[in-house]
Amino acid sequence: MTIAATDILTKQQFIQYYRQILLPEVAEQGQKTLLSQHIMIVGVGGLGTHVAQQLAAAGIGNLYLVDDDKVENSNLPRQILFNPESIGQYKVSCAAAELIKLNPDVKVNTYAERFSKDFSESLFAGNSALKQANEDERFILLDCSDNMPTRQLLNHWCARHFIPLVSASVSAFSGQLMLIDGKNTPEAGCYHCVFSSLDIQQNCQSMGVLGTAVSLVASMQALTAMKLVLNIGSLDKYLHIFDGVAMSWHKVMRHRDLKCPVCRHWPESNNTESVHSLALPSGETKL
Amino acid sequence: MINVVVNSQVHRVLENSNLLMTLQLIAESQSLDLSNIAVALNQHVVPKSQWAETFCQQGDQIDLFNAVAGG
Ligand SMILES: [Zn+2]
Repeated sequence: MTIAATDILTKQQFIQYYRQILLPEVAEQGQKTLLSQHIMIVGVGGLGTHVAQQLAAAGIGNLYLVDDDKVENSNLPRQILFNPESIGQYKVSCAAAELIKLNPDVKVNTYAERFSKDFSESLFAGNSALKQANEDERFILLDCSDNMPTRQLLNHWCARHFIPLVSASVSAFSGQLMLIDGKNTPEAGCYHCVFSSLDIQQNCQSMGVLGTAVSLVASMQALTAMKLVLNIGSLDKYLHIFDGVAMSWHKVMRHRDLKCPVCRHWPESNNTESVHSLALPSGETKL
Repeated sequence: MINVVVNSQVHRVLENSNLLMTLQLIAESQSLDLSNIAVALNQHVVPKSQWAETFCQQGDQIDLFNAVAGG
């Protein structure tokens, strides 16, 4: 159960991860934490392939890839774990093969399935290591999916089980990112507190997208996950917005919707001020 | 009337307007779908259930974000 956390790094691992270990925020203990971490990536497309590659290289010990799609020619400009020989094969299988080559320390679990309600409900029952990791707070989920119904479903499942969720999305030149954590930052709310629509007609297929923009948003998503796992910095309660034309990131503070049907079972937070009083502290004049 | 800045554009709204009224006014003129957006008032997201209870003040900065769902 906690074997990995008490293990000593091998000499080879120490050398391999040395530049990370050199950071006081990471150190040898942090590298062991990374190696004992479990991260599920839902959607192995543009965001998912980038995120998986970065996390595997960093030594996240257990990755879970979920996607029922097969590789298509039009995926290659941005889905970096695939090549022309991957076309027609399951994305999760091709991605897993590349990740294991990149870092043999990583155990990659693949699910060539859609993240559905049935799938989510059978996950812990079918994988005791994952269930244990969640109980030990060593499990987080990254939303790299490409549609709104899946985003809402993931949010719902994570909210119910108090699984930290790093949600990222990208379309055309726009990206969005948020960390949802019902246990530690309930006052920031869940995904549904920000975006409540069940479906929208807008994705990479209809809008177009550049791989370079995808890569930037994916790096921020992977960084958010690493910081969370390693406990670096304060917990993020923002909605981050990327504008690839203006080359800028912008952020706004999130607040829980007390009428949200998804996160209403979360604990009370100390933060009960109204939004306007938060937005405009008394005495502060705008413009 | 008071001035509020919505996505960098100045709009004049009635003094006692709440956020919902202001958004409906803008949605009409810009064919905006209010069910798909998040709204930030002075850099703080205002949950949808509070739009009608949040009153606009002179100089408020309102930012509207369309949900992005691609990956
Ligand atoms: Zn919520």
